[in-house]
Amino acid sequence: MIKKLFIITLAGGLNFFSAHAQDKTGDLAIIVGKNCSLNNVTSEELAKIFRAEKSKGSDGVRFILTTRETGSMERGTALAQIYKMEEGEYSKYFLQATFTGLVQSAPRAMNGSGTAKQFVAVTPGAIGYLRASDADDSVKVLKVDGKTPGEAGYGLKLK
Amino acid sequence: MKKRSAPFASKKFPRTASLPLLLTALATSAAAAEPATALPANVDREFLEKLVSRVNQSESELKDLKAQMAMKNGETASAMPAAPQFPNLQFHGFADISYHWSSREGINNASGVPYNPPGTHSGNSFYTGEFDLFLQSQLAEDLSVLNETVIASSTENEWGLDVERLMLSWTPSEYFNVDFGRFHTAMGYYNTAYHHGTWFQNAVGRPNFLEYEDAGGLLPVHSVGLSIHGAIPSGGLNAAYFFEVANGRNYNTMSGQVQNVADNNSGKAINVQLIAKPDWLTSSQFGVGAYHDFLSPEGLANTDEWIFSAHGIYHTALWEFMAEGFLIRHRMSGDRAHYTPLAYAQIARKFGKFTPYARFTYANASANDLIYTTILNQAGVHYGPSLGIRYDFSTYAALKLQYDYAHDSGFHNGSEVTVQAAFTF
Repeated sequence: MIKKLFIITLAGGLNFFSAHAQDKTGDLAIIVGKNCSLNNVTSEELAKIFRAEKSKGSDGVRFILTTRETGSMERGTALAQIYKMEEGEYSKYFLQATFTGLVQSAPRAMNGSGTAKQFVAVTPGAIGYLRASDADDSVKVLKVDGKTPGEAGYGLKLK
Repeated sequence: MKKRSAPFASKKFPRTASLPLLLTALATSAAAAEPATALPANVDREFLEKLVSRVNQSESELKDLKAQMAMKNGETASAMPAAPQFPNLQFHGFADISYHWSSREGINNASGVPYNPPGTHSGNSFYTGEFDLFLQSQLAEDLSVLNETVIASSTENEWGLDVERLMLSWTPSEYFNVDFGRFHTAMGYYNTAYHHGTWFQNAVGRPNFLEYEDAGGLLPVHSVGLSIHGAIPSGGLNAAYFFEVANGRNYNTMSGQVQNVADNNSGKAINVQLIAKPDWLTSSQFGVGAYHDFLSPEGLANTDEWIFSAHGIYHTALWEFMAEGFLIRHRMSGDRAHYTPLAYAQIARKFGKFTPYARFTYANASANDLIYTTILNQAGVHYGPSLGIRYDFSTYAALKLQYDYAHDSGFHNGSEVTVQAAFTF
């Protein structure tokens, strides 16, 4: 009985990882409003936008940065792969950016994918991120380095 | 013979044993694009639906817990979207408390003047540093106000209050932004990267020649006027410009150098700086600048002042390397030009909560420049290394220990040790 259970569990696990590798569940999607002029960004541009080094899009609309709640996997992924900072460094960075006048405030924290999606959908200039499988038609998912979440070689992987 | 569907179908199956299987199947169904076809036909769908419902409930509870954690950590998590509201006043505070020891306490120079190195305090003393109150408020999408007011004690142990920065900023474009008021002169890197909160910087203080005007610094750290700045379309070079028009210095033994209200001559200081943050060397910044002012120093002839600057910075999460050089040119009416070179280099490497650092500072204030010999009393060669370590014992508080060895021509060489607790709140 135990052997059977083990085999079924193993088969199920393999099936899961197989399915997981082919879809976008494990990717972090960058989202903007549907009217945003952005469609495709490079990793460097994305870092500049989220670090507030680039404050406006080509349409002249000011970016409104959002982040996710402390402790979430999405936030941890964004810190590691976009900001390339740890939590403490992130706090210090935006405090110093506020101090030097680079930004008016730190990115606004969104509690959950639903809130992040809703805020980005209705706020001009808002940009955020969520688990790719949580994205829907209410927002636009950006290509990063020419690739969409779920596509082979997409760089932002949830960790 | 038992049915193969028993593990999923049987409600009698031990719950603890069935959970991994159910979760595995559930994960498979969630990951697959078409769960109905991806699942085995003999799975009890009703039971799975109940399980999905329980997982959703658990996820919802987990999100609530995370939100509570975020709120506990001081972060304002948005419960629902809301349009920005103006004005949105923010407040931050910075402060430091230190102990300083100097081997040169009580020593006078050859003229009998007590040794008083810029930016330092008497030897063997505890001292309260700057109590820095920082306010910022966005008034509209493109308009904000920034204020930094510092309460600090002088070497006479009297508290004083200084408005260090007060500026109205209009930011209509990536390429054109205007600051109007009192600000830190865009001269080099350190002066605008670090302001009055010592918590931000690794070392206990600024390089000596970059100290504030009332603490013996040699550069026009603060300006009152207009600063226009923005990006320059330059592809991967990521260039930016600063153009500033401001009241210049007032070298006068009886009043402050920064001319907050009245300019002692009609000449305005002009400052231009160009910087670049090239993509090919991420985390780096390079810059050059030129500053010009007409000075009317007390008791001296009018003086034409040029300050040229260049800097190279490399700053990552782990490494910090900063090198800056300045050249001050003073030419008094009827006299030849005198040059004062200033430079420092600093390197730091973060190891977890510890950041050891080293800095070397050099200044050679021309002994023939009457502004340095008769007004500032800073003429001569000043150089020396600084070694220190910063310990971030909290996210918003750090302890620093720094040793300085200083050579000052005309004074005795000496050592200094500073222990500083710097924090933000």
